[in-house]
Amino acid sequence: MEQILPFLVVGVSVGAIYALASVGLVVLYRASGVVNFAMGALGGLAAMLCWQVIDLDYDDWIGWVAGIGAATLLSWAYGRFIAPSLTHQDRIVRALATLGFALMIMGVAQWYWGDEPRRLVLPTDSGGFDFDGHRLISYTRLVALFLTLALTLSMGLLLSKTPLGLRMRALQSDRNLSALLGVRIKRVDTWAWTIAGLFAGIAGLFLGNIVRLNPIVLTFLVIPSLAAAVVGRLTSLTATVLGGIAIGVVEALSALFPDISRYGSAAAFVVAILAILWHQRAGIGLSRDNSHLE
Amino acid sequence: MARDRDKPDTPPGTPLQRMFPIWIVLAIAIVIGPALLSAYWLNSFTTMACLTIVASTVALLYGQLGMVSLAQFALCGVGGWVCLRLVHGFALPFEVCVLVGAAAAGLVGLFVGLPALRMRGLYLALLTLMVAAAFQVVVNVIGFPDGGDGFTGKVIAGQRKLIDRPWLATSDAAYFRYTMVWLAGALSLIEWQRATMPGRAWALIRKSEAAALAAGVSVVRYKAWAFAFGGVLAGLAGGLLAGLNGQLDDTGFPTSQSILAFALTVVGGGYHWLGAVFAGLLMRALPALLNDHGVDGNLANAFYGFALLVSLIQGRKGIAGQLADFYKFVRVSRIVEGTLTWGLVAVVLGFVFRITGWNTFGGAFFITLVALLFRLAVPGVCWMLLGFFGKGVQDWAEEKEASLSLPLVTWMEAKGMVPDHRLIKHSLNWLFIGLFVALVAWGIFDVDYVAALVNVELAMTSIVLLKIVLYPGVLPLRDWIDKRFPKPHAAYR
Repeated sequence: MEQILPFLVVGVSVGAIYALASVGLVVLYRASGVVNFAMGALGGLAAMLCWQVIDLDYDDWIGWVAGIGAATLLSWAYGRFIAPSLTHQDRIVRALATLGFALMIMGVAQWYWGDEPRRLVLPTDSGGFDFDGHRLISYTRLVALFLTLALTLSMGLLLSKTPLGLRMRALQSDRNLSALLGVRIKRVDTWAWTIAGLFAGIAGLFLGNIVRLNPIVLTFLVIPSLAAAVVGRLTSLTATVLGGIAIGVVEALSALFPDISRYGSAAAFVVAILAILWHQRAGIGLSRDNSHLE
Repeated sequence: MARDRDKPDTPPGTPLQRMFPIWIVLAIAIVIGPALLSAYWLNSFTTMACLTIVASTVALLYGQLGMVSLAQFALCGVGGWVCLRLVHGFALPFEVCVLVGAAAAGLVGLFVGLPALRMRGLYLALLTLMVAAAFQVVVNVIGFPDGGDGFTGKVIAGQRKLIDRPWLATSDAAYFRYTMVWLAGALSLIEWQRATMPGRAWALIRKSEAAALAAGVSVVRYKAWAFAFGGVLAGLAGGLLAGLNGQLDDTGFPTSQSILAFALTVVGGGYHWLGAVFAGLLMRALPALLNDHGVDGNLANAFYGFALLVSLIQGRKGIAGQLADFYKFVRVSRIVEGTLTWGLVAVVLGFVFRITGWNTFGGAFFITLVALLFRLAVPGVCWMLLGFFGKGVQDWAEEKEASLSLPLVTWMEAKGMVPDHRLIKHSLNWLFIGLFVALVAWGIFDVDYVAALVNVELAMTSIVLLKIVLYPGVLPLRDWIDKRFPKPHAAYR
């Protein structure tokens, strides 16, 4: 147990950050039916911008605001100006369009910032809890963990208790009927995009700090986040958070076994593939009960 | 599901008739390619041919079945891995290894596709994305075989071994031709499948699985076949890539490439084999071109993303679809006339540039053709980009342009000339195409930028002059041809 504990803690904290991005994904998907492949790219942009601002000798908090603000703003702009022209298309086409958005952001960020090794330092990095003489968990990871739980909880409350959440759930259920009942679809969608951008920005800062500060790496961290969201069938917030944490834990624990440790980063994908197969187990022949996914 | 305007345009004709254009285009490439291109670009084009095969499998699944597979490039890696392993381990002939690698990739493709028998749309895309990401992790760890021992065949310490190219094609030019023949085979196979029973079954499944089932089509069998067939061809491309360089790069098959392969297939056009060719060209040529000119190749990604967004929003059938529409709506007489005048101008300019010593005959010939093609295929590039910002902006620009053109046109008509009524738009296009094509030519053909620019503009000007001069003479000829080959949908162009 004492040997496992550090890995467990590391796994939970990384998994929590994956889950943070996935919660944004799920909220957006529930409201607008778009799987946002650009979450990672938005997060990457937020992290790079934050680093740039801090590097120019501004205060740290200006960097955070700039990074998260830019991600939120871009996501809002996409939701406000580009997503509406795609609403009549299949879900798959709308998802793939965000892939184009992601490539655009990633291309520009990679062109501007390039591949040089950098580090995004957060003030919480220096402190932490020690265990057995080693740093067990830094405050950054702790903050990330609690922020994930708090934001997920608030999203759950938003969806279940507020008028906006009600409208989002109405859209999830039936967009055309909601429109007939007077739900302002575009406005609700735009809110969902803004929230998604906010989540992407926050997750991006943490991932840029913990994983690596590189636009391409951060862009493709959307895949583990997607994996977490898939565990929750792209709809359940609780299952998504649990899925994210499970992915982080499996990834970290694989380091204990030398034979498979190098395959550790594939954990997310294996979990997701299994989850997809599990969700698909019912029904033989034709697709059943997947209408919301087509 | 798919909306009507996205319907695949199934070209008419027997399988052989549909394969014929593929052979013509690739035969031209085989004949003139090695003569025109430098060694670097020759190898680049060989790579592009392999990527075209991969893109054609994406197009098969997306265009014909409406299924999104983001793992095709990973399947290409599987084929390459098996091929390399066999060459190193058993010293079999290269072709045998390529085919076995292709079969292995087909099996993996089938395995990936099995869950897809029950799903489509989003979940399938996510599943294949996960497979591609997992493949990247695995191949990063075990690497591609390079003559070592053990199952993975990886050299731990020491010299990496390269495999030999097939004895048929040891030089760069020969390997280029060799790959082109494989490419022709792969595209023809797809075309054959599309034109026969599987193609019809796929089209029906795409429309509605229930309808397909009711019509007696075995949905499971044909979906599985599509995945296996796509996997085989993608694996084939992997083997050919391995043969080109004698090895494969362990980091050369990232998820991003699988995603790009999909994005560019949509941009190129998923419903026509030409779309896959465009996708292959874009995937390799644009980053290389940008790098050639000292621009970071990563900007190409931004461009691809933009192009993907535009293609999805406009709901067009990609570049190839636009070309197909063009063919559908343009009268035969105009196509004949265009081919003859283009050929004439290209040959004349080729001689002119060779005599002046500014360029080789082939170089000038090719630049001229590319310029004229651009002049034709993307007449409204600037306008299309404007349309991206909204119909209002586009309309505003059109109106402004029309009100500016009008006085000019009236003046020209008063002088007894026959003006083009979209004078300013076309001049803008000229400028844009001239600058752009000259930039491309500068990169590929090793000519001065100014020479290329002069070439492009000269080509476009002389084609218009030629038209004006020939105008009275060709009118009866046009009527005669159009009566023989009527096209009911043809619009005036």
